Amino acid sequence: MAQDRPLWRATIDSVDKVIGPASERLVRTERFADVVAVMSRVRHEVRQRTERALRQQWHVWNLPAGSDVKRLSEQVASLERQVRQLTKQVEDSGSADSDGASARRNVGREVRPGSNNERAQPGRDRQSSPS
Amino acid sequence: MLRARNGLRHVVGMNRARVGQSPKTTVWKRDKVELWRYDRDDAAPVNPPILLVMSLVSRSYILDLRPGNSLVEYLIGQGFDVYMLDWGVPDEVESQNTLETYTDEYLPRAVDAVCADAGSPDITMWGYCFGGLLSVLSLAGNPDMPVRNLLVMATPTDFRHMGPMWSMLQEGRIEPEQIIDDTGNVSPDVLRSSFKVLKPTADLSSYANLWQNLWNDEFVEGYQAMTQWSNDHIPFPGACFRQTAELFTRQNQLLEGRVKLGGRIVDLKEITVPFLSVVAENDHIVPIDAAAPLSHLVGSTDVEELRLPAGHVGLIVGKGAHRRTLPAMADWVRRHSDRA
Repeated sequence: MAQDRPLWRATIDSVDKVIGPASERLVRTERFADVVAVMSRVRHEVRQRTERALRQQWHVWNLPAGSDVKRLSEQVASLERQVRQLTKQVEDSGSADSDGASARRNVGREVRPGSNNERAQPGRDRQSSPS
Repeated sequence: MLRARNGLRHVVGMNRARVGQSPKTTVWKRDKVELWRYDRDDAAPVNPPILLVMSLVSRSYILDLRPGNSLVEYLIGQGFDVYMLDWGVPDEVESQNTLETYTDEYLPRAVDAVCADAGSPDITMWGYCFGGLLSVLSLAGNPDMPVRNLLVMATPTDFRHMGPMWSMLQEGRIEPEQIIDDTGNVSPDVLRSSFKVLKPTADLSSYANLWQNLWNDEFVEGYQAMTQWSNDHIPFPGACFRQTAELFTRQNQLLEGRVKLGGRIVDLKEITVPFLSVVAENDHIVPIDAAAPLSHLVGSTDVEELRLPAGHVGLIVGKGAHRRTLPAMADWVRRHSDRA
């Protein structure tokens, strides 16, 4: 089989054979970890400082900065989480009243219409969702 | 000519592979989590139904990649009823999702939903990668869940062997906060880089394979599907990542079989159902040393470990999977199931 390989492929394979294991060893060395750790810390620090400087500049002109948008976005997310939680509580308490298995773990089943435990029948009209 | 056409399509991105094509119906939903039932034309001759639990960092369509190269399709062909739990794509709202959100909230409810939908008293739970870990923790923390069998594939247990990012977190060289982005999650780019760094020259041989087979439409389509998936990560919820870093990486609690979750100790010995751990011998993402300890930690008397000559994805995708790994796993499930 090896003889069937074109020359360019054989060259790439032999280069990969040498470089591959060496690079895999390299990324597991202390030195590599040190470099990545320093780079990560520097990037984090630079990002924070840049954000702080930009925020001050934008605020001088009474304009919202990226951090303000981020805070707003976090608040919206938090609000959505609270709404979800309340919805779940309402659904779960409703299901717990009517379903013994669910009540065992205070579980609410959100089984949708059409998801009864019928088996699929040939030719049966079903709503499929190939993604 | 074919090579030029396929090459052009690849470069301009016209050939986006069609993935996850098996017909399915959403039978349950909670937040962004969806439970899909894969359609079959007749009643499944094998019970109980199988619930596939996907990892949190990648798309679930890897389990239903392409017709002829799909775990879901294979299992349906073997007579099983197949369900898949898809976690959706987390954003800021999901950034506070903890491990308990998955193990104590979504999974037990999804299992109940499968039982209700299939009319079955129990299920076979089948987790892949981090999904295997969630399955294990969920069943250990909720041992009354109606799970008859538990099968996990390439499931990380000893995080000391999980590669540079986890080692650096373990040693405190980097903190989770340095990795978590503005949305409160670990971005897909970081995840992609952390996987790519494990095999720095993988792209070289991958492109060489593509060039050599560029004339072959079928190869190119398969290549596109795999490349699409391996670059298609989803954000990892930040709260869950912090816990993973602390509990599994720094404290290595999984290796002791006892994990502090939800204000209680979750003991893996609570798992007493038949258990199969599938370990891939050539896995560079969850190496054999990271996955192997799991089968010694559960309390089941019927425990098997299956070591298969495959990589992390090769366990479920490709000719080797259809020839060796899928039949071996399906055979175990069948031996622990009923014929209708």
